[in-house]
Parts: sequence; structure tokens; C-alpha cells
Amino acid sequence: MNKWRICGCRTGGLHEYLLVSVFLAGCASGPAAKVHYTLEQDPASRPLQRVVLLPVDVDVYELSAGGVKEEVPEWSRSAEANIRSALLVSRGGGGNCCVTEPADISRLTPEERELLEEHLALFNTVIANVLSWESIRGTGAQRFDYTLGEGLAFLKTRYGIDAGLVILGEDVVSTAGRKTTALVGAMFGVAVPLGHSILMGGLVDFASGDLLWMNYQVAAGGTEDLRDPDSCSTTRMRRPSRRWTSHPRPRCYLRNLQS
Amino acid sequence: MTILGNEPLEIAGHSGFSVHLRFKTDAGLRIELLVRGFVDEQGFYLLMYRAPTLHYFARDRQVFESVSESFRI
Repeated sequence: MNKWRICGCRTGGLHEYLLVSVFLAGCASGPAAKVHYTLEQDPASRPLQRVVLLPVDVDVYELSAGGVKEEVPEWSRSAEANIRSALLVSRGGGGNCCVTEPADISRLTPEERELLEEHLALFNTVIANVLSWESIRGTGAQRFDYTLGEGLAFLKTRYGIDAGLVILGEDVVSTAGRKTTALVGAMFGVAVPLGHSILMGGLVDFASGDLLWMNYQVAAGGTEDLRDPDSCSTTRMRRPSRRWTSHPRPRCYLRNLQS
Repeated sequence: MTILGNEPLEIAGHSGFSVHLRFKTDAGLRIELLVRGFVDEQGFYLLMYRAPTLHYFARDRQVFESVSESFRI
């Protein structure tokens, strides 16, 4: 299933490899936030002025009593709108967010859109490798120097955009039947998994392609609901937002971006 | 899938092949593969390098070339 709608086509959300990597990395201890090593050394080394929110890609599925997972496009669109709104309006609330501008994809040529789309697919692959490597070696065992290459430099030179925030996610909502099955299963000692929610974010420096910062949030058991705008804008969505900016370097970095 | 190259190649003193392929994933990401192999009395040997065309394939190709050239049985 594909979700990027930047050129009228859909190119894929969290693929299975990435999904497994997220769960594996979730088992590893340590902070989820990653910051490019150059920012660790010097937080002012990337003086970004203009950061846009790239198309949010969240798939929302319904999980039936029998365990069949089926995407509900309307829920996906709702979740994407909620997350987009929560990110774009949160500036000033806690002073933690600096991204107030959604990417205007319509300004790009078809070739540029295709190139951006391919880089977003590459982001998906790179993130999966970051997380799977982390699950093997443990957090902090690697120097965070991942990159997408310089293929997006045209966004900087031609459109004056310094960086882009990429948000990927998946939300699996259990039906009442599934919850009942889980309850009955628990009575007999059989574990029946319920839904889960995953949100993942990364900040890409367009000039160099470097992945400046990334973080993710995993919630198992259906405790989050990205379809709910109130939860996105108030409590639940703020939890991952705070977590994303809880690392000292990104917080400092984001403050710099606001100025 | 596109075949970018297909030629005979000597690997570790054996006559083998080298194939260069490119394909696109469902997500629109171009992936390139270098597949090299040969057969001897012991079996079938295959050396493979796979990376996204964007940035990574060209960046690390030389490492694969070094491994391929230095491969011995």
C-alpha cells in the first residue's frame, strides 16, 4: 500500500522491514532520539532558517477479531491531518516546535517530485537500517552519521528550504471483537495481541542530505489513537512531541531554528 | 528490472559471470545489484552487492570490488 501523494501516486508507508526494526529497537534500552554527530560536537554548526513539514504518511488499520489487518483510508487521512495540525500549531505552546510551514509540493516540477518521493522512500530504508543496527549493537554504539545524499540540494538552492521534517507512522485499531477475543484469551492464558501505534520523525538537511535528528514512539496495546484530534493536540500527541524534543541537543537546535 | 551489464568475469581463477541489475521497489526506490558467481568442484559461489542507487550504491561499490577481486577459495 502506498501513501505519498506528492505526485498523485502512493509510494509506501512503514514497510514490514521498518516495522520489525522499530519493534526490535523498542526492546533496546537507551534514548530513542538520535542527533547527527556534527550537532553533538557543535549545535550551531547547521544554521537552518527555513524548515518545512513534508507530507505526513500515517497508515491506520483496523484489526479484526480473527487478526486480519485492513487499512481504512479515511482513518489514515484523519490521522495525517491530526498530526499535521498538532505539529504546525504547536509553535509557541511549549516553545518546542519550529516547523510551521507544510511543504508546498505543487511548486515542484514532476521530475523534482519524483526525486523527492524517491528520497522519502530512501529515508524509510535508512531509518530501518538505523533501528535494526541499534537493536543489534545497542543504543549509543554507533556514530550517527546517516545521510540521504545530496540529491535534494535543489530544494535548498532553488526554493530556499533548508530542511524538512519527515513523519511516518502506523496505527492499528482493534475492533470490539478483537478486544473481546483478547479478553477471553487472557482468561485461558492465551495472549492475543491488540493494536499498536508507531510514530517516527526525522529532520533532513537538504543541502547535505544528512539526517540531523530522528526519534520514534511505540505504543503497544492500542493505548494511543491517532484518529482523535484532541488526543493529538493535547495529551497523547504531546507525549511523543515532548519526547522528541527532550534530548538536549535537538531542543537547543530547534530553539535556534525558531530565531 | 533493467539489466545494466552482463559479462563473463574471472573470479578467484575461475570462469564466472558478472551481472549488474537495477529495479524499483514498490515505494519508488531504485535499487542496484551486482551479482558475481562461478562454479567449481565444491559448489556454486555467489557474491552479491545491493544498495539504493541514490548515494549509497556508488559510494560503497569500490568496497565490493575489492572484496570480489581479493576473493580466494
